[in-house]
Amino acid sequence: MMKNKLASKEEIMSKFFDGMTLMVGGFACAGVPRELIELVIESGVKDIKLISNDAGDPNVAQGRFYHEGIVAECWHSHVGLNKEFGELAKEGKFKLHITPQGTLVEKIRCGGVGAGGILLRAGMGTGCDFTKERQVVNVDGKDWFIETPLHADVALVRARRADLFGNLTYRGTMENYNSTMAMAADCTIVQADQICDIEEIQMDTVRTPGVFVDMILDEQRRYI
Amino acid sequence: MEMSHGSGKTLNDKEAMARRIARFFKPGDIINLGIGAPLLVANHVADGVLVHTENGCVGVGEQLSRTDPNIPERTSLESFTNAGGIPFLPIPGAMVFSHATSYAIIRGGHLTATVLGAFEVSENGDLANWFLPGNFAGMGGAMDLCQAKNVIVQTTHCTKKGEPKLIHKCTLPLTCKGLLTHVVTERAVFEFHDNKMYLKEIREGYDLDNIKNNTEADFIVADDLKTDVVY
Repeated sequence: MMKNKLASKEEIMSKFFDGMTLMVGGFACAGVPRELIELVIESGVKDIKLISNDAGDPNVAQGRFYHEGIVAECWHSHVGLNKEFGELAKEGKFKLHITPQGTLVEKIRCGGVGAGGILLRAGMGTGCDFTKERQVVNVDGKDWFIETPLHADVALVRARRADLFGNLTYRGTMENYNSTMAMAADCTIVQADQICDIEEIQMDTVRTPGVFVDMILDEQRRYI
Repeated sequence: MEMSHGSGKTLNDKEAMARRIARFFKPGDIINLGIGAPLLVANHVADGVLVHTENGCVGVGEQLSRTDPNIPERTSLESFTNAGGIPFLPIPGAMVFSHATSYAIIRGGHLTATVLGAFEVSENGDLANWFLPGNFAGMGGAMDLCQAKNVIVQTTHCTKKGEPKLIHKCTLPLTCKGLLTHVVTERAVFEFHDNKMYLKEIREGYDLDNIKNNTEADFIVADDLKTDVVY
């Protein structure tokens, strides 16, 4: 008998705490676990450290966290679609780590797969601020940045389907960061468009094995 | 033929650049197109050239309007979106994958080329296209995309004020250092070899003097320079 990981809103909110590091899947407001974001806000936690591709739109998707003023530090690759974020950043409301997109996702992957880091080159030689914080190593005559892992206390993941154990599938381009973040947190919580029984997802089509999933929001919802 | 010295930023020029860039590619090639004018390249590529989007698809098809009332019947608004967050229709046979796989395709040399816009290009193949003073958005995937095998810049030859965009040394923060392979403007095509810039083609309606007078960057006229090229 496979473990049933369905969890109530209250059980999920009990996992959130002040100062937690939080990964949130999604890209440009697509494939974002919006219900779970609302639960974080409803729980009343503050000073979160947010890791996500972008800052959403103003008061939409990840932008909800900024609108509510609960972010202390953040890692993003692009923040240009959220004007509210820009204003708050100018006021110094939080510490921002801007990171090239492919590098950001690899740092998260390192956090999920037990790697101590990865050697990458995005931004090499540009002199941009983030590169000054990086250690450089030379391997076979080529310079590389040592990119260190990112790991989270909690990851919020949006899936298309979840079975009761947390085997997941995604739809279209909505997988984006979700499957990588699912590996990289102590507690991975899923919001799925459809929840189904064990064996209803053909095992060959599973994109995130349920071993990475801790909780599934117990609500059947369908998003268009 | 439209003469557009000075600003030159007309829709016709953008389409013309897209047509010229599209001719670099053959069926089976996989290309990534930057947000904005580079997306026009998709309208002109040969059948079988596949478009990649960094948020996880090869086989990007027709771009849809967010306000298209027919969208829910054809695809869902969120299910297939491009790097600009705009919904699209995947072509038959399209494949979807995670962000991690998507950047593996880029860095691993599996992408034929990326086409990017530019604020400034330098004569040694540097690109500045992500940061303007007072308008901070973040680099997104641009720096990673410059790790692709071919990095093609599509840009107007001059700024709106008529100043050269191809210059000795970029003044804005860089997107990449010396990684450009091609620059296509509405007037000319350049290639980079060993961090030197070569003039390869001059478009019909322009001549070498026009290119020299509107280009600050030092470039070498290629031995096999083509002139009167129809875009």
